[in-house]
Amino acid sequence: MTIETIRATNATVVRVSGRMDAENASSFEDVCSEAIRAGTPQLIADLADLEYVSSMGLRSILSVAKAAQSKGGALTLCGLKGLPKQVFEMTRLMPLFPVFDSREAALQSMA
Amino acid sequence: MKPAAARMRLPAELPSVRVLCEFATEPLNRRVPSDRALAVHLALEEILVNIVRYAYARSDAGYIEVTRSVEGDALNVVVSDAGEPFNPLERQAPDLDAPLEARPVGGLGILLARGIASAASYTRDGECNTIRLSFDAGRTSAEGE
Repeated sequence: MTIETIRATNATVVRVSGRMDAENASSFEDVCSEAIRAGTPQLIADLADLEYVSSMGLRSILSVAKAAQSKGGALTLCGLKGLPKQVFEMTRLMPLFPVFDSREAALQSMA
Repeated sequence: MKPAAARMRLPAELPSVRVLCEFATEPLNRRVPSDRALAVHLALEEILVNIVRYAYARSDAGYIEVTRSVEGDALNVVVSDAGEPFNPLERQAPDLDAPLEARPVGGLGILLARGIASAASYTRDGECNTIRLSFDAGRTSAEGE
């Protein structure tokens, strides 16, 4: 898994590629916690290149969303497709997040 | 004729999980779409992580053994450990309608494993927990049913 952080005007974009599993999920939480601590509770997780997410990844994503919400922000998801999208649907997590097809659409919603 | 089975036993620790999952799903490589192979990998990760976290919580760390066999379109995987008696398949699913602030972060793994496998069963055999999982390799979506 690789994580790239991009500062946009109204949000921090966290781009996650590859596989988010039991061994590495906590690093997503670490990166997002750092951004929230730095004062940007508006986070966009760009998941267009995420191939795999297990429940430990979902656990991290939920924790980040709760933390962002408690600071008056939100974790917005974009680019979900393939198996990760099916995983979000099977666990009925989708309604808990603002969801957009693309990063551009997510950023536009915050402009 | 009984299908040939292959077996791997590793210490019940987190770094073993990926190795065991890859071993178990190896027969699917190049035979099914990669998303389907990854879905089976995911179901197994959930079962194995559960064992790593709970089976040996009150004793010395033990092992996890994975046995795989292919029967027609089905991949059968037997997972066993010598930890405390525990049937993860009986674990109640979390409330999937709770709002974000009240949504529990645990319990989703077994839900996913059950959803992806076409059959799952648990038995306590002597000193061992045994979970038998069957996957329909021909399916194209993640869900088994």
